[in-house]
Amino acid sequence: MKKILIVEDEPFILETYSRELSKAGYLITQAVEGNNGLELATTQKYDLILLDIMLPGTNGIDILRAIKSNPTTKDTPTIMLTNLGQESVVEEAFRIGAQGYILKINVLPTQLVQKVKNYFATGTFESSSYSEFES
Amino acid sequence: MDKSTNTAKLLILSVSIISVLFAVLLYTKALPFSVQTSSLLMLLTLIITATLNLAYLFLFSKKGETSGINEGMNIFDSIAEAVLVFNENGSFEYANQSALKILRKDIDSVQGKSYTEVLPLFSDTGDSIYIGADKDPINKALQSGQQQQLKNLQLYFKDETVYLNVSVSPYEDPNTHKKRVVVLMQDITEEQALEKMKLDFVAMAAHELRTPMTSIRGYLELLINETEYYLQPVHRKFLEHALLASDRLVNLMSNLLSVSQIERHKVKLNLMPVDINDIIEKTMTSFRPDAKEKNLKFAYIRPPGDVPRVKGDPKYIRQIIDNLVSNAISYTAKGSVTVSLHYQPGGHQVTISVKDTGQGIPVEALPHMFEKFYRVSSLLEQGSKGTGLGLYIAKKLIEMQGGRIWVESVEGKGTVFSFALPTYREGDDKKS
Repeated sequence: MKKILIVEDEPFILETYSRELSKAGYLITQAVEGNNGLELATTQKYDLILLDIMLPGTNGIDILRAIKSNPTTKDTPTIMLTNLGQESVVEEAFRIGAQGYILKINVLPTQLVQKVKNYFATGTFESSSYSEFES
Repeated sequence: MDKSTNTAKLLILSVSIISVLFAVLLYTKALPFSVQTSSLLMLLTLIITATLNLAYLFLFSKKGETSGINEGMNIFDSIAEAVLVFNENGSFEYANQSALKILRKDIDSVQGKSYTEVLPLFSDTGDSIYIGADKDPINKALQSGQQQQLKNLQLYFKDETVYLNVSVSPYEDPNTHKKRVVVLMQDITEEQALEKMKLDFVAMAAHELRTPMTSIRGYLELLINETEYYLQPVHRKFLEHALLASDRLVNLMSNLLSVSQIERHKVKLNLMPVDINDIIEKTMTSFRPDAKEKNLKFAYIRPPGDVPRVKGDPKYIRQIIDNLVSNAISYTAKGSVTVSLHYQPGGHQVTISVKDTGQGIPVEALPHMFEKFYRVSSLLEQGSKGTGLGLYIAKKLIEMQGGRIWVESVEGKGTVFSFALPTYREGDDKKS
C-alpha cells in the first residue's frame, strides 16, 4: 500500500483530497501546519508528498527545500499544491526539485486521484498547465 | 549674491544722490567756492556719478552672464521635483534643493562633476541608462537635441531603492548658443510601493476567493459520486448543476484577475518563435472528447506546405485557441467545429480560424463581441462557462503580441473567429 503525506492547512481541502485518495487505496498521513509537515516529511518515509505552499509555520517552498536537500528524503516525489497561480513560484519549486504542481481550484478530488494513479503507473506527474497561471 | 548686488546698488545710489545734492549746493552758491572752483567741482561730481553708474551697469550685466543661471533659479528650490542642469560637456552646473535631497548629496560633492557621477541612474532592468552612447539620454539631448521622458528609473541607496520618472531636455541659449541639458526628476517611490501592494492585494484576493471555492467544488464532486444510491436522480442533477455553476465562477475569478493584470499593464509576455501547428494539435487533442460528446464533427485543416513560426507567447496563444475552440463547441448544438491554419507563402502573418455551425451571432451584436462582459443571450448558454471576458482578454493579448482578431458570422449558419499573428523573424527574441 502506497503511503502519501498531505500537508495542507485548509481543513475542507484536506478532507476532500484525503477522503478520495483513501478510497483509492492509499495510506494517508495528514499535517495541517508547516512545522509539523516539515518534521514528518524529513523524518518519515513516504511514496508521495502533496505539499501546500501557503502554510502557517514553515511555508511549502522551505519544506520542499528541506526535503530535497536531505539525502534520505530527496528522492521522495513531491507535488506542490496551491491556489496562487504565479509562474515565478512554480518555476522556483521546479528549480528546487518538485516533481509536479497543481492549481487546486482546477483539480477536483477524483482528478487528483487520477493524476496520482498515473504518476505511480508512469513516473510522470501531469501538472496543471502554465496556461492556467496568471503571470 | 543678492546681498552684494543690493549693497552695491545702495552704495551707488547714495553716492549719486550725494553728488546731485553737492551739484545743487554748488549751483545755488550755498557753498563758499568761486565760480571756477564750483564749475570744476560740479564737473568732477558728474564724472564720478557717471563712472559709478557705468561701473554698476557693467558689473550688473557681467554678473548677469554667469549668475543668470542662478538668478531667478531660487524659485526652483520651492518645488518638489528635482531640477538639474549640465553644460555642453556634461558637467554639473546647477541643482535645486529637491535634486540634492533626492540624490542625497551636498552641493560641494557635485560641483564640476560629470552627469554619470552626479546621476547614477539605472533602468528597471538594473542596467545603467548611460551604457551605449546611442542610449545615453543626456548625450542624446546634447548631440541631437532630443527630449526624452524616462519612466521607472532607479537610484540605489544602501537602505532603499528610489524610483524616478525623469525628463531630459536640451537647451540652447538664444544669444550665446551654448548648449545645456535640463533634467527634471519626479520621485515616484511611494507610487511604486502602492502598486506593489496592489499587486499583492489582487493576488491575495484571488487566493482567498479560491480557497473556499476549492472546498465547495470538492464536496460537490464527492456528493455526486457517493450519493448514487441515496439521492433521487433529479437531486443529483442539482448537485451537478451546482458544480457546473462553480466552474463558471472559477473562470470568472480567473478572468477578472487577467483583466486586472492587463489593464494595469502587468502582463509579462515572453515573445519567442512559436510553432502554431503544435499548439493547435494539442488543443485538438484536449477538446476532442468534448466535441465527441456533442456528436460534432471536429477537424483541423492545415496548408500542405510549411508554415513559418509566429512571434508570440506560447502560453497565451494556447489559452486563446483553447478559448475559441471551447466557445465554438459550447455554442454549437449540431454540425461541426473546424480549426484551420492559413499562410500565404511570402506573407508576414499566420492566420488561425475557428469555424462553427452554431446558431451564429446577430448582426447588431458583432461589433460588441470583444467588449468586456458582452454576452449574446442564447438558450445554449445554460451551463456554459462563458464569462463575457474571454474575448476581451483574447483581443488584448493578441494585440499585445502584434496581431489582430476578428469575427464573421451569419445568423442561423455559423460563426468564424479568426486571429492573425506576425511571423517570426531572426533577431526578434525579446521579453516585453
